[in-house]
Amino acid sequence: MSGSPVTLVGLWAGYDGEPVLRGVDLEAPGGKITAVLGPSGCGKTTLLKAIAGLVDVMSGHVLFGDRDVTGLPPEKRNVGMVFQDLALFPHMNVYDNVAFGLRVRGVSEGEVRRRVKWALELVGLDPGEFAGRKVTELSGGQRQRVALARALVVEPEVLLMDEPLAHLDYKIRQRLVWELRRLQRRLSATVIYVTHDQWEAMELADKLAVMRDGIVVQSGSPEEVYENPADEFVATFFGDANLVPGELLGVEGGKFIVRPEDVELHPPDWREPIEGFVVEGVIEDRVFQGPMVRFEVRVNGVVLRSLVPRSYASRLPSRGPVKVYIPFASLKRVKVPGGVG
Amino acid sequence: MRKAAFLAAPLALYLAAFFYAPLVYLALEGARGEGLVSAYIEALTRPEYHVFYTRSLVAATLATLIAGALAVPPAFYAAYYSAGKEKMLVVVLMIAPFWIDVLLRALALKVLLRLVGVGPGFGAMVAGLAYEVLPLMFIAAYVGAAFTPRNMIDAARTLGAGPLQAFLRVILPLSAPWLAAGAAISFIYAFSDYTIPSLLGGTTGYTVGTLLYILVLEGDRWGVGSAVAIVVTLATMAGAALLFKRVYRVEAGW
Repeated sequence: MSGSPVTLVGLWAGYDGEPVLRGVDLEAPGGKITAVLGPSGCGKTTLLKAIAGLVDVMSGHVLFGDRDVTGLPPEKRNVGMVFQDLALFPHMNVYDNVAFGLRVRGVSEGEVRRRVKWALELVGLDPGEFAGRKVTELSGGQRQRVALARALVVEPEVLLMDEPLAHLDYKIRQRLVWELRRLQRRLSATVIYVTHDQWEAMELADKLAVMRDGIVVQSGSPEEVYENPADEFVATFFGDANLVPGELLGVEGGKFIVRPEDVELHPPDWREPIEGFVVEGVIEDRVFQGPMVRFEVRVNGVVLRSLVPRSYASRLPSRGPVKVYIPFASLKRVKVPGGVG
Repeated sequence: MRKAAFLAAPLALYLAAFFYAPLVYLALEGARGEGLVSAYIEALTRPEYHVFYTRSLVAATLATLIAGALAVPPAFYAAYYSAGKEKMLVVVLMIAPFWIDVLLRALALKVLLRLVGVGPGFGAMVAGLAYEVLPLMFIAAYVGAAFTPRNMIDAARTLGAGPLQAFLRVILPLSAPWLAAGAAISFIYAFSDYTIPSLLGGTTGYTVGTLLYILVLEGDRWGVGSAVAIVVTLATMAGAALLFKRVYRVEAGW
């Protein structure tokens, strides 16, 4: 289906004259997944609704490719939307739910049958087994697939997904995220995927947009955002980050961001490297996390989190003195929003 | 029997004493005097009575349909497009007529209709009955809409349905159980009402309510009167049962 790019330009939108989006600029590339990440209440859902045409746009523009859809009602936009609670029609069976978008477009019943079968197979539901089932009888994962099939069957220009996996168990979520990624690659669909879960964002995103208080504060590839967070908020919301006061590093004022995996811990007799900040610390806590072990280390009154590969962690004590090494390259000076950097 | 059945006991006892027992008594009333069987035969077959039945049926059906058509749009407006104080205001304004006694409202309506040149007659009676049951239909439609999440509309719209299609294909079927309940109550209310037909019906106001009045209070024919009451009650119960059986097949479990 190869979707169009979606561009939001200076978008203000909200409900009953109250803006929720306060000037959003975003480019979601065509045929790619753009993950929109942000805390609850930051305007993520409103962003999707503005793209779908479900909220009042006060100013700015929504473009699908070169087509300005800002003033169009939702039914004229050709989007597919998977809602947070899925919004399957409870009075229809699986087949009728998926067929809905085709029937309101006046597609012939023969074509409807063919396309519904295609969509159900696409999302991994056997049409013979599921077409006649009531949606109220399905498991969470199956309902999720029906919602996806219903949105995809009309071959939308853009697929909008609003935290569709939020209510599912971790294992099912993981499997669906991987399947969704494969499916998107196969269809070259433009997907805008809203989540507050950074794991889902990292797994899915070709492009990441971090939102806060109704604006997009930073966008880029997940790696770009992770390596160079725009400010303290982005650094701590996308990935974990230590905030190190400049004084600790012997610098006047300011704060620095260091990712926990960049805080290296070594036995006290470890030979010092040349380029970096080395200091004595004391391990206060040790938490096993599977592939990595997280340590909490007190350095001159500041507690730093450090992620150490499991294999190396066995060389370190659970408590007591340790040598802390932070390469200079891993230290990023923080821009405090609204403050002096 | 489940233990929670005691919750139903007070109402069940009340209804048994003051509704079902008298109903049985009423059903057998014809046995005194004219004879049970002949009372029912007369109630069912006498052509003059059929005029009363038909008129009640047509008037109540029209009144229910008119009330439904008038009540659904504001109910949906209140449920989906208003919030807070505005929502409360719409709901209160729509059900406020219920706070005033039916007799007062009927008299007021009679005066108002005469002011605009409409005298008592079938039209005035249907208008009065619709006016009477409007708050019931509004409450039913409002509850139906309130139980149908707003995102059902959003989902239908993003899938390509215009506002009317979203309403007809999604909102209306999902609200149907509540609308049917409202329609059934409104219909029964309008069908057996006495006040409105006698005040606004004029010479066409001969409905089931007035028939009973004539038979029992004017003609002293208690046997036939109770047979008519039983026939009408059973007919409306059967109608309601058929309606509910059809409508409640809709699965409302999300």
